[in-house]
Amino acid sequence: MTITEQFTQIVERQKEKELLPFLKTLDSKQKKELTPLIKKLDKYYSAYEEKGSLMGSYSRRGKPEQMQILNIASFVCFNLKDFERTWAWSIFNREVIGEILTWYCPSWLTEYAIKHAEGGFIRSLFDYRWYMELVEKGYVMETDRLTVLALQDFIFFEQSGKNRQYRYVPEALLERDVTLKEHIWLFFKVESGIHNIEEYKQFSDDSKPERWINTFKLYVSQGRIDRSRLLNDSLVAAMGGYNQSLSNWFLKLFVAFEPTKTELQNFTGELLNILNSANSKPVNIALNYLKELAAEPEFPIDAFLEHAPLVLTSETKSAVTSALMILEKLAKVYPDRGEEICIAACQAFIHQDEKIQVRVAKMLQKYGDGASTGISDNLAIYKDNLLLEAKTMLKGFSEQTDNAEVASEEQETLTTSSLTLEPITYPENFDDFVFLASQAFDQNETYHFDMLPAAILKFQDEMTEANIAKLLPAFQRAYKMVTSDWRSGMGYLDDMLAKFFMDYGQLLVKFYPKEGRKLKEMRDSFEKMEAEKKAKSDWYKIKISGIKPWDVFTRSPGYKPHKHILLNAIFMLERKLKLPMLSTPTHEPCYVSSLVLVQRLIMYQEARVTPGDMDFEVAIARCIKMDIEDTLHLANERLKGERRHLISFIFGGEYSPMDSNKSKPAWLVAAMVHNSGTIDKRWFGYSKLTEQYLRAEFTWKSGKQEYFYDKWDHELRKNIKTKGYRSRVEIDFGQKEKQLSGIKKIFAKIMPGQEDIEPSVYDYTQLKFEYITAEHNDIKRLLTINPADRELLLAHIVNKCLKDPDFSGENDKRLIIYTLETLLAFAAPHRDIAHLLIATCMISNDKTVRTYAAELWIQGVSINSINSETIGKIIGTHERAELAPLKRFTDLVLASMYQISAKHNEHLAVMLGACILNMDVPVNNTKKLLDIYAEVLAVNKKNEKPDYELVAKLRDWRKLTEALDKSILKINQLLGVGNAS
Amino acid sequence: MSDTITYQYAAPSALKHSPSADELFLAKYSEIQKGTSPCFFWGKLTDPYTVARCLLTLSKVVQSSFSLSPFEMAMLKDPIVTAGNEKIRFEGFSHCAGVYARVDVLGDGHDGEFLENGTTNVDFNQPMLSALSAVRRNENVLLSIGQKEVALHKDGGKVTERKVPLPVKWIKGLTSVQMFLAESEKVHSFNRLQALQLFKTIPTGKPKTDYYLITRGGKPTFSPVKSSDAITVGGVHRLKLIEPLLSIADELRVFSHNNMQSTTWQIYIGAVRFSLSLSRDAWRGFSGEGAGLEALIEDVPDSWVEQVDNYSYANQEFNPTMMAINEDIDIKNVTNLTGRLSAIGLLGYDLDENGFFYRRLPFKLSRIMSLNPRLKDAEKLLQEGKVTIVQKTADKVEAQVEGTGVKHTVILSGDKEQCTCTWFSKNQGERGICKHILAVKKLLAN
Repeated sequence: MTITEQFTQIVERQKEKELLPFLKTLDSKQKKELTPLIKKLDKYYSAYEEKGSLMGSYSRRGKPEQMQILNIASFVCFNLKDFERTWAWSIFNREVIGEILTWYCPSWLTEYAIKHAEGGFIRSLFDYRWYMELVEKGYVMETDRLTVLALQDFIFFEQSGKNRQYRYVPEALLERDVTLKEHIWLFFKVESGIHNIEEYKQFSDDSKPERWINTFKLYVSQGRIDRSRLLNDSLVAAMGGYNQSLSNWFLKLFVAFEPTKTELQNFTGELLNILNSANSKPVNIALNYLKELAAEPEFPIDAFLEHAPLVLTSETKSAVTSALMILEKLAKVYPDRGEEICIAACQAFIHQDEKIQVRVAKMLQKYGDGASTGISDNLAIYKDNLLLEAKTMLKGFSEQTDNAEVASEEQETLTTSSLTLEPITYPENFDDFVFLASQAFDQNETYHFDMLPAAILKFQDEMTEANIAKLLPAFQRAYKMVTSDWRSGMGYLDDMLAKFFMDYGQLLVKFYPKEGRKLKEMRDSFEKMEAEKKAKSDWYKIKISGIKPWDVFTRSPGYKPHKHILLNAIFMLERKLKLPMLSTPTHEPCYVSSLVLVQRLIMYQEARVTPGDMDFEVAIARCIKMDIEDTLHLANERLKGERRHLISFIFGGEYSPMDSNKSKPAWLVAAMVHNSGTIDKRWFGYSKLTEQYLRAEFTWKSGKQEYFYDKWDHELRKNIKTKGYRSRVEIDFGQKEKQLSGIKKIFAKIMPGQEDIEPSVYDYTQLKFEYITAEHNDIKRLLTINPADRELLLAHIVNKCLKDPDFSGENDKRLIIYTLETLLAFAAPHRDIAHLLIATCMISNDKTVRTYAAELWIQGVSINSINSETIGKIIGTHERAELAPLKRFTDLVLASMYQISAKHNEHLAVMLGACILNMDVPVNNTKKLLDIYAEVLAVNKKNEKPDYELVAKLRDWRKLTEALDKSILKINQLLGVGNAS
Repeated sequence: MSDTITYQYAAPSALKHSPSADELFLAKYSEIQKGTSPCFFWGKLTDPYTVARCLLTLSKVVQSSFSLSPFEMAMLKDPIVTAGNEKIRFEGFSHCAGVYARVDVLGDGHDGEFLENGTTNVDFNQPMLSALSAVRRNENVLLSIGQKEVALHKDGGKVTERKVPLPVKWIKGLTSVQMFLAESEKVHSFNRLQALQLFKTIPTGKPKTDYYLITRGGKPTFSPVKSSDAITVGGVHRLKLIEPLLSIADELRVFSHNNMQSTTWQIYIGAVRFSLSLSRDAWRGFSGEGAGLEALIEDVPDSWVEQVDNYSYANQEFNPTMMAINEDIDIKNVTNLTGRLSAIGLLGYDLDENGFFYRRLPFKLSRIMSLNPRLKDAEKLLQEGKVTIVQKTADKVEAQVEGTGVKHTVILSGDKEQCTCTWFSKNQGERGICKHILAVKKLLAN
C-alpha cells in the first residue's frame, strides 16, 4: 500500500491511533508527496453540505475526528505558507502538539507563532507558561514581542464553564524568576496590549479593575519590582511613540504610584520631554507635576522656558493655563528673570480667549516692566490678537495696543464696489469646437452646457467627413456616458446634454449619410450592446434615446428650462437655421451681455425667425447691462416692435402689460428681474402663479420638531417607538397658483384654452425629489438659469436640503456648498431667502458650509449686496428656537468674520446687535457672543446712538443670569449708557 | 503594481547612550552600493533636539497614508539619506505617494566628517524612534550614518532583514516630486505666530473639498472659497503632519507649483530645514501626475547619464549648462537632461538654492526605469503605427492617434497642446500630457 493509500484509509476510517506512528515514518520527501492529498482531503471534508430533512441545515462533511487527523498531518507535512492557510491551530495544545514536538518540530514554528500572535490570536496557540516551556526545550525561539504578547494575559486565568469567566492570578508571575526580573520590563520596550487586555473580560472574583497596574503595585510593595526603574521606564514608554491609549496607560501607571516630590525631581527631564507629546492627556499630567516642582530651587527654569512654546500654543486650554501657572510661580521665585518669563508668557496671546489673555496680562502687570522694550516688542506681534480686556490692562506697555485699529484700517483691501465680469471665450474654429465637444460632459465649466448647442449651431455648415471624424471621440463619450452606469459627479443635465448630442449625431447621419457613415456604425454598435444587455435581463431598460422623450425619474419640472433650450437648438438644427441661441452666456458664470443680446435678436429679426420662448426668457434673465449706450442705440436703430420695447423695458423704459404682447413670459421675466425695486403689479397677470409665490415672499419658522423613531430595547428585545426632537427650518410656500373666481372656473371649463397663460421659467423653478440622488451635481447649472432673481429656487433649496442645519446626508451638504459657491459668483444683491440661507448656513454643523457663508457675508458687505442686520436677526431667531449651538456662530465670527476691514467690523457690530436683540433668553455661549460684541464695539470706536431696545434686553439678561454681568457692563460702557440695573 | 524590497541592515539603527555623548547610529542599506566606506557621516549634531523632532516628523510622514487601507499602511518604508557637500538630507514619502518630506541638516547643523558621499536607505525602527523622542536640548549627540568602525559593530554576521512592499508609485513619486519642486515659487513667508495662526484654521477631519490659502484681514487663513491670489491646497488635513514642528519654528515658507499642482511647506529651525510637499489632492500621488513625461520625450544617451553618475558627488549642485559645455551637449537638450536625470532618480531639488542637486536613489535602476507607463503606452502607439501627422506647419501640428474605436485628434499649436481623449478632456493638461500627445511629440522629436 502506498503512503497516499495508507493516509486516505486513516482519514476515511478515522484511525486516529494509527496516525502518529504513520507520520513518524515519513521522511521529508514523503511529506511533500503527501501534501497535495492532505489539501485535497481537507477541502473535501471541510466542505459544508445540507444535512437531514431540514432545509437550510448545513454541517461539515468531515467528522471532528477526521478533521483532527487532517490538522495533525498538515502540521507535520506542510510548509509555513500552506499551514497558514489551514485552520489547524486548534491542535495547539499540550496533548497534541506537545506530543508531536517530541519527535518533530517544524523549522517555521517561531515564525508561525509570531504571525499568529501579531494577528491577536496568541491565546489560541499557547499561554506564557507553555511558551516558556517551549522556549526552554528549544522548540520556539524567544522573541521580545512573543514574550510580551504571551505574558500580557498571564495574570488572568480563564475558567472553564459556560460563562468563560476569569480569575485574577498575579501570583502566576512568580512561577519563574525571569518573569519579574526581565520579562516584565519588556512591556516598556515593546508594543503590547497591556492597556486594554482586561477589557470585555468578566471576572468571578472581587479583584478591582486595572489589574496590571495593581499587579505592579503589589510587587513594588513587596520589593520584587524596582520602584524607581518602574517610574522611569513608564515615563520613557509614555513618550515611546506607541499608540495613544498605550502611551496614556504608561502615564496612568506612573500616576498610580503617586511619586513623591523627591522622585519627581529626578524625572524633571522626562516630564519636560512629555510636553512634546501631541496628545493632551500626557501633557496635562506632566504639567501638573511640573507645577508642583516649579517653586523648587533645582527646577530647570531654562529648560522649561524652552519647552513653554509647545504648551502655550497648544489647543488645549487647560494645558495653556497650567503652563501659565508654572510661569507665574517661576516669576515669583526668580524676580530677576521677570522679563524673560513675561516674554515667554506673551505667546499665550495667540489664543483669543479672554480668561487666558487676562491671566497673561495680569502676570505682565505684576512681573513685567512697563518700560521694557522686550515685552512691548513681543506684545506688538500679538496686537491684532489682543482682546479688549487684555488690551485695557496692558495700556501701560507703550504704544502697541493703540495701533490695532490702524492695522485693521490697513487691512481694508477687500472693498471693491462690484464683481468684475470675465468674458467667456467662444470656439473660434472647428478645432476649438471639437475640443469643447469632447469636454462638454465633464462639467469643467457650468456654461459648457450652453456652449455646446451654441457651437453646433455655429459650425453646422462645416460637417465634412474629416470634421465629423474629429467629433467621433465626443460622440463616443456621449454614448458611453448614457449607456454606462451612473458615475459620481454626474448630474441629470449631463445625461440630457449627451442625449441631445446623440440626437444631433442622428441628424448628421440623416443630412450627410456618406460622411456620417462612421457615426452610424458607432450608433449601431452601441444599440447592439444595449440590445444584448436587454436580452440578458428583462429588467434592463434600454438607455439610448433622444432629447425629446428625456425626463428625470422624479418628473421634476426644474429641468424643463434646460430641456426646452436644447429642444430649441435641435429645432433649428433640423431646419438648418444658422442662428445663435439667445441665452448662451457671454460672461462668466452665466451672464449675457445686453449688447450681444440685442445683436442676436437682430439676427433673428433679419432671418424672420421667432426666438424660442424659453431661450428668450432665460436670455433676459441672464442679461446684464453692459455697453449701455451702444446697446440702446443699436436696439433703437435696428430692432423693431415688441422686442425693441422689451429691450427698452429692461433698461428702465416705462411699459405696461398689453394683450397684444406675444412673448408674455419674456415680459414677465424682464419685469421680475430688471425692475428698479418696485414692480407694476399688473405684470403678475402674465403668470398663473400668485404674486407672493413669484416674488418668493415666503414666511418661515425654525425650531425643534418632535418626531418618533424606533429604538431597540435590550430587555424587551424589540423596537420601541421613541420620541425625539430635530432641528427644522420650514418655509411656508403659501398658495402657489392664483385661485380662479367661480365664474372664471366655469368659463374655463366651457371654453378651455381661452384663459390659458403660458408657463414661464418661474413655473419650472422647483427642486423635486424625495431623496437627493444627483441633483447636487446640477444645482450650479439650475441656479444659472435665472441668476438675478434666484429667490424662488433658493427657497426650494432651503426647503429640501437645509431643513435640518445638521444635514441629513452628504449630498444635501454638497448641494448647499455648490449653491453657496455659485452665489459668490453672482453680483446681484441678496434678498430675504438668500439671507435665510446664508444665516442658517452660518450655524450649520459643517465647517466648510459655515466658512462659505462667512465668505458670502464678507463679499456682500464689500459690494453692498447683503444686509448684516437681517443676517443677525435670522441667527437670533434661530437661537431663540435653539436650532443649533450658538458656539458655531461665535467661533465662525472669530475665525472668519472679525477684523476683515473697518467696514466689515461696523457691519459685524450691526449683525451681532441684531442677533442679541432677536434672541429670547441667554443660551449656552451667550457670554462669548457678548464678549465678541464688546470687542467689535471697542474696535469700531464709533459713538453711535445706542439701541435702547438692545440695552433693555441686556438689562433683562443681567437679571436672569449673573454670569453675563461683566460682559454686559462692558457693552453698556462702550455704548455709553449707564449700568444701573 | 508592487515590488518587494528587502532591507538588509548590518545592525538595527539605535540611539546608543554613553556617559560622554549619545550616538545616533543609523544603519544603512543600498541596493546599489557605491564606494567602499561603510560610513557616510560621523560627527556631532549642533541641535540634536531639532534634528530628533524633525526625524520623528519624517517618520510620521513615511508611516502615513491618506488613501490606502490600514493593512497597506502596516509596512513602513525606510527614509533615504544623502550625505555630502556639507549637507545631510533625509527624504521620505508617505505610502500613498502624495506627501513628500525632507529634512535638510545644513552646514551649521553638524560638526563632523563626511567619510564618503552617497545616498542610502536608513533603518527607522520603533525602539530607535522611541529613543529619539527622548533627545533633549543641549545634549551631546553624535550622528553616525553607517558604521564607522566595522569591526566594533560587527554583530556575529547577524543581519537585520525587513521585507517591505515597494510599490512602483513610491519610487516614481520620489523622482517626479523633484520636478514639481523645480516648478514651484515662494509665495509666502510666515513667522511662527502667523504659521501657528494659519494652522489653527485647518478644518478638523478630512475635508473632501479643496482649501485655499488666502489672506483675510492681514492674516493668512485656509478657506474653502477661492479668491484671486489663493493657493490651492487639496487634502489640507495632511498638513497636520508638520504641526508639532511649528512651535519651535523660526519661519515657515510656502512654495506653490506654477499650476497649483502641489504645495511645499518649508519650516526653518536654526540650521535645520523641514520641507513637506503635498500633491494636488489626498487621493492623487505625485506618481501619477506625469510631471517628467515631457522631459522623457527625447532620448538622452546613456553615456550622459553615466557621466553624471560617475563624476558627481552627493548633494553637489547640478549645473546642467556646465555639463552641456563639458560634454558638448546641445544646449537646448539641457532641460530634457535635468528632467531625464531626476526621472531616473539622480537629482533632487533644493527650493532655497533654486537648483538641482545630485543624489542617486538607492534602488536598482531597473526598478526606476520600469516607471512611466504613459510613456510606455505612447511608445507602443508609435510602434504599432497608430500615429499619423495630418498637418505640420511652422506654428501648428495636427495629428491623428488611434484610440479605442475612434481616432483622436491631437493639435499642438504654440503653447497649446490638446487632445480629444477622455484623460485630456477631464484634466485639460493639469496632470501631465496624455499618451496621445506624448506619442505625437515623440514622433516629432525623433
